[in-house]
Amino acid sequence: MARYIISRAAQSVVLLFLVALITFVLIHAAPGGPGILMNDQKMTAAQIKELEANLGLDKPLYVQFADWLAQLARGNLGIAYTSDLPVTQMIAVRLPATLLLGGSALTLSLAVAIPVGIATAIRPRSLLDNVVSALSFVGVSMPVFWLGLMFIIVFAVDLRVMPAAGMRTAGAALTAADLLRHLLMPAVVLAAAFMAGFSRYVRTAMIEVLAQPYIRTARSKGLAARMVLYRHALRNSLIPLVTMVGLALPLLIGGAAITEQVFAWPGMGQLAVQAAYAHDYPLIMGITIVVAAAVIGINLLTDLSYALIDPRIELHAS
Amino acid sequence: MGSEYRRTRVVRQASARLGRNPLAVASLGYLLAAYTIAILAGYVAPDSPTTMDLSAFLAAPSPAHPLGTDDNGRDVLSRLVYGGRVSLTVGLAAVIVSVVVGVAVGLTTAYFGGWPDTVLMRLTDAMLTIPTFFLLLVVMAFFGSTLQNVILAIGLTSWMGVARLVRGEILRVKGMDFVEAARALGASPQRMMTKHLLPQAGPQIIVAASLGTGAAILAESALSYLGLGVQPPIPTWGNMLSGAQNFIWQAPQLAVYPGMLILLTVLAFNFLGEGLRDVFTVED
Repeated sequence: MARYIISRAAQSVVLLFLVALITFVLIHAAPGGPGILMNDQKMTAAQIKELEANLGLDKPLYVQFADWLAQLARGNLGIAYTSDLPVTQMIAVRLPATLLLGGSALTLSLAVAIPVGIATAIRPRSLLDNVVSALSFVGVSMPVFWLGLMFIIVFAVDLRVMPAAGMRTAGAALTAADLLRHLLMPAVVLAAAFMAGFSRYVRTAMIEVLAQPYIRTARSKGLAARMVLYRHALRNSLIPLVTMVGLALPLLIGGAAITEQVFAWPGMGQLAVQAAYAHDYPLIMGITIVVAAAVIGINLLTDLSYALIDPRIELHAS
Repeated sequence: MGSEYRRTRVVRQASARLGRNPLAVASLGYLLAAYTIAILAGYVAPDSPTTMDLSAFLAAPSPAHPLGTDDNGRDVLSRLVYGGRVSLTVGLAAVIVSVVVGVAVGLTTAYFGGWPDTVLMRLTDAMLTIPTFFLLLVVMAFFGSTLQNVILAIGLTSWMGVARLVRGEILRVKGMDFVEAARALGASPQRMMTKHLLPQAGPQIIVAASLGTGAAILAESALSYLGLGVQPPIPTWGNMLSGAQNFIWQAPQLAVYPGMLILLTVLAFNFLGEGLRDVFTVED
């Protein structure tokens, strides 16, 4: 077990290193590179040189990368160009909003997808199954931000029942009810994009499990259908769903970023888009690394928890 | 001669089977029509997509402007037609990039194994871990928002699925008798890969390409919506939507049309992809 944990953790570190390398190479391969901010006509060549030296941009690339990694290991992501604040601090301010939006959307999508997946698995090819199947096609074919715009048109512009943007009513005190009202539309929009895929996945896993001999045994013992369904079948179908959620995480975070843009939700995605506009490279690199680290960390945890829970998983397999 | 005959027969059987799937046929018809309109945009569009008429600010539909005008007095229908040209081109071109890279990576890893396999598959894993969206932001921000960069950025962040399926398929057939036979006959590595191994993954690549084109169109629309994709005044369905959001209170219909077209087009690619998957699955 210890060997498995160590090798799996080492893999994660390698992965994170590669992610850092890819982002670093990309930014430095760009024409103008990270120094693009300094393409200011008013600055003299000497001033540009001095600024580059201050930022360490005059050193060889591998030294810059090593410096950056060393700082990264200490949890220091550098100073943002546009605000002169530490990148970690800027991310920390925005993180709660993103976690709230992403977490609510994920919970909501699972809360809908699991019951729907079960219902459609029990009666494949029924009316419900066909409707859900059609909806899931629409769900994966629709731009998330466009669904957001349609929600704004219907609920904010036409019906005037929902706020169109932001996290709180301007000028009003921050209350849970007000926050919830602002959270509802972005969370539903983001969740909608994932409900489709998750419910199809639960359906497939459930149908597969229901065809297993042990289910037949449970039924022939005379157990109630309900009991067999929820106690025996559901548990085993949900295990692979956890992997699926782990794999969907990068998409969820990307979706959250664009949803934040639609609803002016002050999270990390919005920060990333602003950083991209402003060519603030320490900031965008920091965000990318933090997000990738979160995805890698969560996937590592789910893998390890499987190994603990599911005796069928071979520990010494690479 | 013999294999030529076999190939046409397979194609004929496959198209017959696809013909029995009305959704796939309708999707194919829609896509052919959409691409025809996009190619002939200059003849189909009633107006230029960039001519401004400031006296017709957010005008309602009229005989001159069947779908009205936008905030710069530009004809919405013409912009939809020309915008489709950009969105459809990006979709197809980005998928070509991703298939070329994916096939190259998949072939190399599966055929050679060893350290190229380890290195490239770790790279694939890393690419799957980074939320693609942030990578696209980085690329567009630092390399510039040109049509060519949009295509390359989307293509180079979406090849991982193809690489994995090509690798898996080749590893599956690598030990089979016909491959051994070809090797025994002295086929060169190039010949082994292009004539014997890669064709086995062909059907799956076609399915992935159809689904991938839809995904690429979605990615383009998101980038253009954020203002980091193809730049105005060139219309794309995505940047039309970002313009529309500013006037969502006065003219909400502007936000409806481009999104409907994105939805229909991506839906068509997805139905076609699933239809093709069914056709090829029966064959196996």
